[in-house]
Amino acid sequence: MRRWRDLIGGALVVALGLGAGSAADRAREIRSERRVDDVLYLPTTEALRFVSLGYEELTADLLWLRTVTYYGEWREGGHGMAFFRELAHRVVELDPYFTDAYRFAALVLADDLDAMDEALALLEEGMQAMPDNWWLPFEAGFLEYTVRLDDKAAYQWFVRAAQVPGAPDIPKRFAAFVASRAGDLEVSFELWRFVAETTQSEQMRRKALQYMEELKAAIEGTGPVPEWARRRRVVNGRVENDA
Amino acid sequence: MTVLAIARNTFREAVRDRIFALVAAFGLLLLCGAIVVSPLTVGAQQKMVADFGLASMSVFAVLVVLFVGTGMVHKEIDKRTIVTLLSKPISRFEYLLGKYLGLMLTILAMMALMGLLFAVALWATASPFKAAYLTSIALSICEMVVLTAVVVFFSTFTTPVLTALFTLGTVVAGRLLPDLEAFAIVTGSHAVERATDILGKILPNFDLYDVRNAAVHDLPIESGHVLWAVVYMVLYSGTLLVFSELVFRHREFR
Repeated sequence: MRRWRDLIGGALVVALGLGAGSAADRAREIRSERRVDDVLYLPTTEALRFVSLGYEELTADLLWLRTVTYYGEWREGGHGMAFFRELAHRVVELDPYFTDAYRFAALVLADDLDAMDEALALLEEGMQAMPDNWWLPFEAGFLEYTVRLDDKAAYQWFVRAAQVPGAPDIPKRFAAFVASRAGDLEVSFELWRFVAETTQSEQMRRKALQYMEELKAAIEGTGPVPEWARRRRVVNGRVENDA
Repeated sequence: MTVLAIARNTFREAVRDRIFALVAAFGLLLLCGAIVVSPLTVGAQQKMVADFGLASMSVFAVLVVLFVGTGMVHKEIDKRTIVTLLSKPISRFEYLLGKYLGLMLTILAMMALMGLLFAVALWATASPFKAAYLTSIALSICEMVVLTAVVVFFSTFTTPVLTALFTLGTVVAGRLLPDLEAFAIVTGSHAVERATDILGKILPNFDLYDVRNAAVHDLPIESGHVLWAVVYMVLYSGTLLVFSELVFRHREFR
């Protein structure tokens, strides 16, 4: 008798649990407000710092996860990118030493949102917090070369990155590259390859590999100069066939 | 000897409170969390594992102090075992010190176990182990030394619920001291500034023990800072323990 009661009880627990799960799914499907609503009223950095009770770095991490998923949702057409800037700024204000956040946010701002100046401003904020970090000036040079196609500015950023004590040879190599072969699509290809090889982010690696493929086809003459590169060339006045 | 016996008993009681189940849950959560969120971290996996690990150790330690510490003295009063205990040649200070050391021992054991799990999480995610993590953990322990003194103090004269509330309030205020000081300056009011200044002298400055970000980002942690934070810990918790004894001495148990 007792065994039967246990069995019935167990079955009831499973049935009710499954029922609750599917009810939650149904409710989520029907819900009209979108997931993005949670970032609509993002508290100020000061407020976030206050409620984090001294765990600012943890708050920055959690907010960073939301920033990355927010970006992912945008890539899948879930919503716009209106709050990306706010999210990214909150993250680096809570944790000013979060190098990966500066780099990724700057890339998204420059490449996806066409906001190169904002990307550079964000990187400069990071450079102020971490003057001995060579990644940030290197990233600025990378964006100048591959996104804005400003060879001179890219060269200056690479030199600045190379001058940071303890910096590896990479920025020096790219400074020399840019100085001798300005506007070359192959330099772009090498820069993206460097990103693909060094990034720990799968999203960035995928992006870099896709750009490398397009650039390779253009360099070998088996494909056109990528639309994104051409568009920027016109904007920046670089000639079409200088690759 | 008596102090150690009380400490040992307090430790045993705390362990029987299934506190180590909490620690196991922590380890499991940390490991699973690190693995689950790693594809979303955009290259910051190692930083996140370190942040989550160090912060969780601190959060869980605060929780243990709150859950175990608040009922520690009250339980003995409730069960009237305190009357039997204090009828023996044990001074009230020895009793409080024993309770304090027992709770500290519990926290130390828990931190050691959590530290081990943190090391496993670092290893599992191929993150480097930095010496600065040890400094950060050591300062978290120092913070708990002060917090344990706070909980012992409140538990000498009030109920467990109020002790928990007062201790939590002290944690919040102690962590936010620099923000409160900044806020006072912004108000421009001399009275508010003065009040915050006094509050800053009375409340424990827990912000001194937060070097987690510096440890994760390889920023310098000055040895002078660590040294003075330890001196502060000794003096502050000593003051509170003596004050606790003064309050406890005047309590009557029937």
